[in-house]
This record gives sequence, structure tokens and C-alpha cells, in this order.
Amino acid sequence: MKQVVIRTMSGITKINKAMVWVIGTLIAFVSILLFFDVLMRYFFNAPTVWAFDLSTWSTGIIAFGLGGYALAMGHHVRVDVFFENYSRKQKSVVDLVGMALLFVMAVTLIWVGMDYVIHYYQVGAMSSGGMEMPLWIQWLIVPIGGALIGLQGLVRSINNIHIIVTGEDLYNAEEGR
Amino acid sequence: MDIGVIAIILFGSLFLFLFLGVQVSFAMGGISIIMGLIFWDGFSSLDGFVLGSYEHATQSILTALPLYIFMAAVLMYSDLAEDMYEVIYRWFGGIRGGLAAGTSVVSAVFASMVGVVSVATAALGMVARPSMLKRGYDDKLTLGVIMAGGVLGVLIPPSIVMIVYASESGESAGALFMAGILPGILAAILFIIYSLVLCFIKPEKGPNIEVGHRFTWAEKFWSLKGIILPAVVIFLVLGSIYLGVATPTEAGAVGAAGALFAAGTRKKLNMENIKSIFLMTARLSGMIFWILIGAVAYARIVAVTGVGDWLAGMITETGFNRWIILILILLFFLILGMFIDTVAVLLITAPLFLPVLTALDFNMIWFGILFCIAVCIGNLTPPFGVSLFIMKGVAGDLNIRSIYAAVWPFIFLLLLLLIIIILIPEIALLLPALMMD
Amino acid sequence: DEAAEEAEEETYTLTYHSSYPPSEYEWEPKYQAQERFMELVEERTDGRVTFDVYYSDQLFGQDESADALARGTIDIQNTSPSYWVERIPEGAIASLPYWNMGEEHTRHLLRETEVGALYEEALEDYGVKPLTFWSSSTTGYMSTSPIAEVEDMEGMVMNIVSNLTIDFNQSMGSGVASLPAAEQYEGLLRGTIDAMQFPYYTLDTYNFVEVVDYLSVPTLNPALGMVAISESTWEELPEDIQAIMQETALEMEKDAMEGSQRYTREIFDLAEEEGTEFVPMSEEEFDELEQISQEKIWRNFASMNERTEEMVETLLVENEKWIEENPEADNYMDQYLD
Ligand code: NA
Ligand code: NA
Repeated sequence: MKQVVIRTMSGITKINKAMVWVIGTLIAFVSILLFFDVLMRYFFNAPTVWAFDLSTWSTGIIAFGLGGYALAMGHHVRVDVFFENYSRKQKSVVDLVGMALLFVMAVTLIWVGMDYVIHYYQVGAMSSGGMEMPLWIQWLIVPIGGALIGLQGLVRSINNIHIIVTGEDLYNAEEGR
Repeated sequence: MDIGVIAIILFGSLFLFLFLGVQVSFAMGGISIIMGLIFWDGFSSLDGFVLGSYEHATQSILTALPLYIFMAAVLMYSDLAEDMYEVIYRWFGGIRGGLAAGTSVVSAVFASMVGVVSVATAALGMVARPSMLKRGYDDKLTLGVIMAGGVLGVLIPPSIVMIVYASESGESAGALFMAGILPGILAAILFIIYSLVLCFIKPEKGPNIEVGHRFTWAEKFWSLKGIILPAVVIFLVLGSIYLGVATPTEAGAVGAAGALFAAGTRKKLNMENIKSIFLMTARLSGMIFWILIGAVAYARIVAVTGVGDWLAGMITETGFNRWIILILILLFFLILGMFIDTVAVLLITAPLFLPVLTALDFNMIWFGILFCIAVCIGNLTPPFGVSLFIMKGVAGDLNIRSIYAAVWPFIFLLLLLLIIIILIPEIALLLPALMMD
Repeated sequence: DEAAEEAEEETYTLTYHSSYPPSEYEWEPKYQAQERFMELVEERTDGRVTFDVYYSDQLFGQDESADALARGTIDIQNTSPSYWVERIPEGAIASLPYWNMGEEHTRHLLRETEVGALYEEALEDYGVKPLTFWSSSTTGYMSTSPIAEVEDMEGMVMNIVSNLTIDFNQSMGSGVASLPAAEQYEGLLRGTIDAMQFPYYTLDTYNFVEVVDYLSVPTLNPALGMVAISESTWEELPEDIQAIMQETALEMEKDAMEGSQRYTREIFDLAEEEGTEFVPMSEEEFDELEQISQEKIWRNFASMNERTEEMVETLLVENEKWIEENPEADNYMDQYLD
């Protein structure tokens, strides 16, 4: 049982850590394409029509898609004026409060976001930024991003509870064990 | 429920959670959703959160954010940034605080072009801090100079904040741009003077190179080859904006592509560096966007519960002397700017404040500049400010207390600037007047 | 009876969310559509209806406001049909070049013909109900080099707001860009873009007059705004309040027409004072441009769905009818031609 839980926690963390490669590649790719678009406009008066859509869509993917990674690595900023003096268990308790607030956000993004994906699919909404891309595809990252960070929050919560009960890490996502 | 009670719950809960040590993003986002469920029509407020988050994350000016962060990461991990600082050091290292002054100039120029505070602070924090620390500079001075330089983009044109103010007030964006130039330069000069004086008095804050160890002219000129590639990247970014080849947003892509090219030329694009570049970009982008998602939700709740209006109404209804009202309004921006984005404060309060200020016969271009300085300060004031949180994300090794301590001198310098512009409006109004002739 | 009495005592606070800042002048059309509308409704319902107003899209973006309205997160939205075309493509009718002949005709098409009925149907399918259509001056090309004929478009970078115009611009040899409104000022100033098609009142409200050198006349179409209410909110209101709101909304629609015409005069005066040059067209050149726009933009619009196809067919018929009934309308564009 314990091993299954740890393996699940590790699996979720690995997915979020893999997002670095997915999104890093995306950013590099978008930089080069937008640079190309600028050149085409300035020198040939022939900008691409999809540059605007591509850049806003990819920014959505970057924004929502990296929340889980930042959480796995403990990079979400906190005011640590008092926090740094807490004991390990106290820190875990406060972190659980943070995870509860995160779940409120994540569940909302998953539930309402998915609702919009379905809605845009049904009405056939199309982006007007030049790409003729269905809006539901652009919106998919909202529930996916919510799920990525929500699941990572679950991993963190389980570990926090384990720390509160036993004083030990069960699975520390930052260190990957 | 009484609006005063709502205000106390809204601000009190944020204070509580943040000081407890809850992550900034989750505290702001979670509180906003819960408050929305209670005070804004129940479940339909959830649509407000999701629609607003998506709109904010995909708004076109923020597409610049990951691009500039990526550019800065490439410059950093291919040692291009370091080479550039080596040049500044060889040339100006003889002066105590010379690198801090140089960073102020670099920050002001870069921030002014990029114009989005979060972007400038993240990029400069990554590039400038390691190089300054390596040369013995005090971390407190380093952090302060970077954060302060990063906000100047609001004041030095082009500025999105000014465009928003222009459309709210009906004033000319062009005149506001002109009006911001001298106060912006004055701010940068104040930062430079502070750094130089501080390091003169306390040499350990920003040591100069000892006389016997100074670089020869040959070494100075030889070092210039190190600046060629980074200079090309910087020229690409600033030049493409200035010459109208690219918008400030697109220039992020130009800079990133240029940095990739430069790093490739230096043969620095190995797997290890690419991994570091991706990790840095992902970490900062993820963290900043989620803070922004939380912050925009919180600003919406302040608006929709009527708390913002209520507070603003208390000022406009006092019937005090016009100067007292002006100062109260600026104080209001400064205080509310501690909690939420000051541009959001402007949108919430503009319908109340702007007609009052116009009726009191204040010059609204001048007030626009005062507002922009208030925006700069609001980003920097502890305990909450986007610049502070981003700096904390960049300098993950530090606690927030050191960041708070670092920023105070610069807040006072900006307050000094605010007072100077209030007393001598000509500093702001000279250039717009010349432009009109 | 008691129930009716209770309904009469019930008060309603409606959230009025606007894409625009508060109005500057009392004569401008937007003032009728937002401030004066709210004032009159509050007055005429004896305070049973009050408004909670948010300007400048404070709560959501202009595009997303369609969903917020449809789901009842807000009650009323003042916006432009063009902001909602991703979700309600029929609204692109208002962006078709030369689709009508002035404010009267816009109102006629939207209120008295099948064209407007079809658009209203589309809005209602989405869960929103239009209250007021308000023209606000006119839309046209604003540029940094003159556009007097089709050939002038060659080599220009045109900032567009609609996908429908991509091949239209490309066929004339201009490149298209999609800078957001906040970047257009800088874009024209630095030459990132050379021209844009946008409402002329933004010469004043966004101060574009400072960076625009040429105004092309003939204009493309009236700038159209719209106040819409959430269907779910509407259904909750008692009939007498519905009647008051609808009546007031239509009254504002008529009052706004005069303001729209005045806005055009004021804007043209402003442009002239600031040294912006007016560029008229010859009749032949205008006819050519009109024809290309119909072949490209109108056709693209018609091919979006069955309803837009029907809208274009009806529009062509209705425009002919309008000229038959109002012979002077045929001269509508003459004021702008060489
Ligand atoms: Na700027
Ligand atoms: Na602050």
C-alpha cells in the first residue's frame, strides 16, 4: 500500500518535472517563430497571420502548465518572516493550509475550465487571432494546468501529513524521493 | 453585510495567511474564490475567477514575460551576461559602487523599453545579481538597485501604465510619455548618487579595485571583445523597438533568438546549459504567472465587493483643502498598492478620483506622473509587492526579510522624487510644453 | 393580489459592466447607452432597479465578457459586437466594410429587417439579449501614409481586428498585423504598423490623432456598440420593469444617433486642427475597393455558417430596397469622394 502511494506520488512529480522540457522547447520554438514573423513583416511586408494567436496561446500553456512544476520544486513564493522559525511540523501544518487554498483554485480551474472547453466545442467558437484555431483547444490548458498543480498539491499534502504524524518525509518531491 | 466588515475580512485574511507563511499565489487566489462565493452571487463568481485568470494569462503584453525570462536565462548560462559585467568592472571598477551605478543605468534602459515591471525585475535579477555578488558587492545594495531599476519602466516611456492612464483620464499618451522622461532620469540619477555615496562611506558595500590591481588600458580594451555578443543582443532588443521593427513584446522573441544565436556562436549550447536554461525559465515563469493569477483575482474581489469604491469615497467626500485631497489620494494609491496591482487600483477608482482632481483644477498630466511614481513605489513596498516576490523567486537562497531590508532606501528615494515633482511640477511639464510648441 | 404587490416591492441591483471608461461628454452616444440609461431606469422604476457599475472591463476581458454575461456572473455588458465574434461570429456583420449608409440605416437594418433579427437570434442562442445598439461616429483607415486608391495598400502593414480581412488585405499587397489596442499607439509612432482600421473616435479617446497622419474617407462603416443583458437576469425581472428597461433602451438608441453624427463632426474638426490630412477617393477607386471587400470579406463572413450566409443575402436585398425608398442614400458616400 505504502509503496503504491509513494509510486503514485513519484509518478505525478515526474510528469510535472517533465513539463520543463515540454515548455522549455515550446518557448524556444515560439521565440524563433516570432523572430521570423518580425523579419517577414519588416523586410518583406509579409508577416505570418498566426503569430499573434501562437504567442497568446503558448503564453496560456506556459502560465497554467508550469504551476505544478513550480510547486514540485517548492518555488511558489511565501512571506517567510515567521515561517523560517517554525519547526518542521509547524511548517507542514501551514503548508497544508496553503494546499487547501490551492485546492480551491485547482478544483475551480478543472471544473469550470472543463465546462468552458465543452461549451466552446459545442458552440464551435474560433479564435480571432489569425490562426482559425478552435477556442476549446486553447482552453484545454486551463483544466490540465489545474490538474497538474492540484495533483502535485495532493502529493505535497500527503507528505505534509506524514511529516506531522511521523516527523519524517514520505516522499519529498523536491529531492525526488 | 456592512462594507467595513467585508473590508476587514478581505484585508485581514490576506494579512493573516501571508504572515502565517502560506504561498502568496494560493493565499490571494484561494481567498478571492471563497470571498467570491460568499459575497458575489455564489457559484457564478467561479466563472469570474476562471475567465479572469485566462484573460490575464493570455493578454498580449504578458506574452513578453516568458520570452524575456528565456533570453535572460540564455545570457546567464552562456556566460554572456558575466562577460558584459566584466567589461563594466574593468572600466568602472576603479570607482567604489561603480557596478551598482552601472546596473542602475542598465536597469533603467532595459526596464524602460520592456515596460512591464515583473519582466524587467526577473530578467535583471537573473543577469545582474550573480555578477555583482561575485565582485564583492553587498547583496542588500545589489537587490535594491535591481528592484528599483526594474520599476522605472513604468515612468520612462514607452509605458503601458501611461497608456491605461491616458485612456482613463482622456489626457494625451504622447504628452504623458514626454512628461515621464525627466522624472525617470532623475530617479535613475538619485539611485546612482545613493549607490556611489553609500559605497564611498562604506567601501565594503561596493569595493573598488585597489590601485595596484587596476586593469591596464590594454586589458580594458581587450575586454571589449567580450561585450560584442551581449551588446549585439541588447542592440537587437532596444534597436528593434526603437526603430519600429518589433513591438516591445515581439522584441522579447528577437532578444531570445539573438541570445540563442550568440550562445551558439560561443559553443555554449550544450545539454547541461540547455537544461539549466529550461529549469530557470520554467521555475520563474511558473512562479510569476501564478502570483499574477492570484493577484488579479484578488483585485477583482476588491472591486466587486465595493471595498475599493468605499475606501475611495471616504476621501472624495471629506471636502478638505485640494492639496490634502491630492495627498490623501496618493497615500491611498500607496497603501492599496501594497496589496493589489496599482493599475487595478486606478481602474477601480478612476471614475471617482479623476473627476474630483479635474474639478480641483490639478494638471492631469502632472498627476499622471505622480500616479506612475506611486505605481513604482507600490510594487516595492513591503510586506507585499510584485517586485519583492519576484526577487524572492530569483534569489531563492534568501529570506524575504533581506529583500524587505534591501528595498527601503530606494522607496525613500522614490518618495523623495514624488515630493520633488509635487513641489516642482515643471520637471514633468517642461517637455510636454516644448513638444506642443 | 399579494404576489404582485410583493413583486412590486422587490428591488434589483444589476451589475453593469462596460468595456469603456466613463463618458466624457453628455452628448456622446456612449453616454446615452450607459450613464443616461442607468439614470433613467433608476428614475422610472422609482429605485426598484439600481446599478452597480464597473468601467473599463475591470472584472473580465472584453472577449470573455460574453460568457460572464451568458452565465449571469454579470447582468449587463456594454461592448462592441466585434469583441464577441470568437463566440458569436454573426457580430462580424458590424465590421463588414461599406455594409450600410449611416446611422439611420444601421438602426433600420438591425431593428426592422431580417439582418438584425438573425443577429438577435444568435445572441439569444448564446444566452444574451441586446438592449441598445449604439453607433459611435464611424470606422475607417487611419494611417501614416495616404490611402487614396487600392494600389496605395501595397507594401503597407495593416493592423487588423478580424480574421475575415486577412485575404482582403493580402490580395491588395499589404501585410497584416494584430497588435492589441494598447500597442497601436506605439506601433504607429515607431512605424511597426502603417495603418489600422479602427473607430475614428479613438483619435480622441486614445489620442491616436497624435500619431495618425492621414484619415481615409470614405469611411468603412459606423462604429457599433451594444448594450446586452443576460437572458437569465432578464427572465427574473417582472414584466413592468422589463417594459421600462426596453423602452428606455430604445429611446437611448435613438438619442445616440444624433450624438454619433455630432461625434463624427467633432472628430473631423479635431483631426483638422491637429493637421491630420483627409484623403478622399475617386469614384472608380471606391467602387473597386468596395467590390474587393465584397468578394473577400463579405464572402468570408457569409461562409461562416448558415445564419451569416442568410444575413449577407438579406443585407444585399435590403440595401437595394433602402436606396429605392430613400434615393438620397445613394449619395451617402459622395460626401467623401473626389
Ligand atoms: Na517604459
Ligand atoms: Na507593495
